[in-house]
Amino acid sequence: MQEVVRCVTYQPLRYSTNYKSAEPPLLVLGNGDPVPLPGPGRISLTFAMHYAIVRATGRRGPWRTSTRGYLYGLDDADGHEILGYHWHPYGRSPETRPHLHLGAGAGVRRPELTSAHLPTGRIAIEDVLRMTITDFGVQPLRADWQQVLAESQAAFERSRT
Amino acid sequence: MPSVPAAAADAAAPHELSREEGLALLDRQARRYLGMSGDEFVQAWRSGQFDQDPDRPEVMRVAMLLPLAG
Repeated sequence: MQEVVRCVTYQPLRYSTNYKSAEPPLLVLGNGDPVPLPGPGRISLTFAMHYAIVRATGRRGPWRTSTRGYLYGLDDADGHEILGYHWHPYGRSPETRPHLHLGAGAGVRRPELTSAHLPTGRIAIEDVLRMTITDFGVQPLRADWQQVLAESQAAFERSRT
Repeated sequence: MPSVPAAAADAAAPHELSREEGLALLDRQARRYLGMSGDEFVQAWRSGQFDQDPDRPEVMRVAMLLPLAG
């Protein structure tokens, strides 16, 4: 995962392994602040992921990381959220399916869209990072970014349930 | 394409958060997004004070960090 985010930032991933907590362990980028991404788009990335280490069989085994929730946020230069991909099946929100929020930074005019939970499938961080490069002008920090993202995402797709 | 600066390469290794670091991170983000301490957020969240709209971006960005509260 660190190699994946290194396509757009040198910020380290930080993780908790507090397995005594009722909450799933956490992976977060940097210190949790939105991380400015390189390039003229002047956008920032917020990344948090809940995960679990679970037993797996066959090619996926003996252990694998299972995603249990995520938040991927993109902010504009003024700190307004452009979009946020959320999946939080645990906790107090009634929306437990993966979904997308369009924020104030997206410039939408219909008021319903600023509060809507737009259904999505589960979104891989690789897709979001690729989008920041191809659609938001983020300058990749490594020449092999396409290969890194593709290989990581393929591995995720092979192991996901 | 810029090469990875040596300092950045070293600094970019994944880092396991200590309990204290985790609480500090949670506190920082609670103050950033909601103007309250991490402890105040945890208490407010668990008592349902955000239940009317828990999915607001500023709330969820902090709520995702609840595993750090232990």
